[in-house]
Amino acid sequence: MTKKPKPRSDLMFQEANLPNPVEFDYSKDITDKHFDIMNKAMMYRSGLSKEELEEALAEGILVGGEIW
Amino acid sequence: MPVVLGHNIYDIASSPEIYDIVWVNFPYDEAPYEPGPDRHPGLVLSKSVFKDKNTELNYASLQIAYGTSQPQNDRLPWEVLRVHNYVALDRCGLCRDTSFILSRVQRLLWCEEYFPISEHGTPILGKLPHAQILALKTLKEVRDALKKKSSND
Repeated sequence: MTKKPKPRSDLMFQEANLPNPVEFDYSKDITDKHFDIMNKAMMYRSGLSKEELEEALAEGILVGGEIW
Repeated sequence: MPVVLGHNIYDIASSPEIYDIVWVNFPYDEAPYEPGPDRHPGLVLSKSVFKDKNTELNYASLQIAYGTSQPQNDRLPWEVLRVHNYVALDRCGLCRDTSFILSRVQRLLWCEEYFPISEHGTPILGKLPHAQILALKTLKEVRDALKKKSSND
């Protein structure tokens, strides 16, 4: 007697728990201006200079990934 | 919400893992204290944790590569990670072909100001699928080898 695979509809694959993609426009290119704006905002809020801020953010313990 | 370095920081337990895709909100250039309308997806490349000396609070900072749906034909191959097939985009929570620019990486605090919460209750949109993680690791090796070569020359 030959073995027969189950019907596809009987298979219970677990669905990935993913949210639906969020529609938003991000078609602008990433430019130096984006970096300047973000740096300016972080400096403004923290009251630190660019160098002090970089130093403060680089002090932590790396818990995932590699430094790029 | 606790404030660290002038930012309203999110709880560390809500922070993304590496290879997660998050929403990044750029502030207004002329008003850096306000979140602007320009949003981009960001790929989390590394995560570090800190303890604030003043408040003793733990907080996270992330290295982010920004994504755009603008084609990046002029860039060198090791500068860009493309996510373009339907399944990969779905897992990333993205709806358009996206290029993450690896030569444009910035470190940001995990905070309310730059990571807006989406309708799903988190700034995290999805996660990079396995095949793209492998491609990213290969790009990192190439970039490191090129850096090493240029420093030896």
